[in-house]
Amino acid sequence: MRLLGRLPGVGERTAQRLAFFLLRAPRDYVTALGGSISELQERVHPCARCGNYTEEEACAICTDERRDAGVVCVVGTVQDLMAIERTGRFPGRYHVLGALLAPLDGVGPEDLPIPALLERIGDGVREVVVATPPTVEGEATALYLAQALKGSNRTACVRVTRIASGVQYGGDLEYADQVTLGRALDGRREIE
Amino acid sequence: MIRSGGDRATIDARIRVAEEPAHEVSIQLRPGVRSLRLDEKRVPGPEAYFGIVQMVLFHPGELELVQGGPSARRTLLDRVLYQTEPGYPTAFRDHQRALKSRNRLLQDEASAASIRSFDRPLAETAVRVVAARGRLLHQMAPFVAAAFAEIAGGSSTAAIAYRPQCEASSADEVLEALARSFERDRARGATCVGPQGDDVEIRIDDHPARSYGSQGQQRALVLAVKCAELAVVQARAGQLPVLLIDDVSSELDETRRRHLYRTIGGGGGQVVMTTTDARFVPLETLGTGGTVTRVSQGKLSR
Ligand SMILES: [Zn+2]
Repeated sequence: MRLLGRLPGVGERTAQRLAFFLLRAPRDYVTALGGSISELQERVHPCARCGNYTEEEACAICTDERRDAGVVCVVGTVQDLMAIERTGRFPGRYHVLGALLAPLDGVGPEDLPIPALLERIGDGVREVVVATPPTVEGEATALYLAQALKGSNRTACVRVTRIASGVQYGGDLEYADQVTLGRALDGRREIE
Repeated sequence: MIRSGGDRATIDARIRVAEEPAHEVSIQLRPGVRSLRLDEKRVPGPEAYFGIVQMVLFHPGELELVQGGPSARRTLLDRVLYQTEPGYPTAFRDHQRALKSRNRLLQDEASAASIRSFDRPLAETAVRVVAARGRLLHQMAPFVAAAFAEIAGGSSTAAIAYRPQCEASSADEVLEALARSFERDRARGATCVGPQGDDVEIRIDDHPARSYGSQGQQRALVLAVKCAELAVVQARAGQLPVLLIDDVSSELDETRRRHLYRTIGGGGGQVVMTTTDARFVPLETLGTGGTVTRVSQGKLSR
């Protein structure tokens, strides 16, 4: 119960409910669940190209030939990537940063996978859509990336856009509804 | 306040506004820890209560408003805006966060690109804070002038005005100001531009009140500012704020005390007052329905 209580969003009472459920559940279900949990970190890892979670070398989005390789959407987390996928409005590929610029938490540009992004942008990419969340750190990260892309010879001609501020400032992409997020994507504008 | 020998203090209150369902507020204090609840859910800060009921606080030491530095005057503005402008708490907090982030980078001598990437979030939140403060002062100024004339009597006049550190009316203008002060900010290790440097100018007979006004005039002015705060909170919220008056009797002379009680009595809202001497609180001028609770040797009695 103590271990279950450490899961995000699980309080004492929920942990108790889960524990009692597992005690009464069929044996093979519990075995399968335990197996999946312990294999999770061995089998699932970040995609070598974009940082999305995958069991393969490259993720399903990076290997899908129908997706437009000319548009790359930069997101903070895999959860944000999934939120954008749910809108069904983004035809391109992704780049997951895994963190945002946050001086107060000691996160600087060197902690973000920016070199890998610049490397990727070189060939055939027309547009980079920055979809970091509309928070202080998300905005700062977007502006930093735009400068980094503009400042590098290979990427200077790429269009860098930012999702529209339809998502409320200080909000969270993960919890924004699909329609709002879809509109924010459609209404993206070039970062000056 | 924790009773000596005790390990915690708890305050529970039920707040009921008009015909709305009541809210339960609970504040628990332990040494170094304050935990706040609203309707049995933990809340991070007292601003969670602000949307429900507005409060205006009178306490000794308000003379700081006239005699002290700008931070007391900014606090006054922020307290009213937190309670009466739905978007203000977010704008203010985000501005603080952007400011602290940028200042940290300046202190760490980070790259110019890192520092500048916080300029736009800083500028966008700064204009929202400045606009809200400007609107508030504009609304308060006539109330202060009128209340001062009434309280102080005589022919002296008082005026208050907003003095923003950066006059910019758009985020782009703030960005320009930030760019201009970049080298200065780097040298100082702190951001010079923005509402963290705002002030409210308070004048008596067109001179700075701090150096020009007599003690009596300054006290009258503070009371006028508080009366204006009360009027503005009420006008903005569309409901009567709760007045919290902490030991005001020691600060004010007889005439000003009477003016204060007249203002309060005329309002008809709820008032909570503390005093060390019951003679300072004339219940009859405050209308009916007053309850007196005595605190003696750590015990409450009615
Ligand atoms: Zn991938």
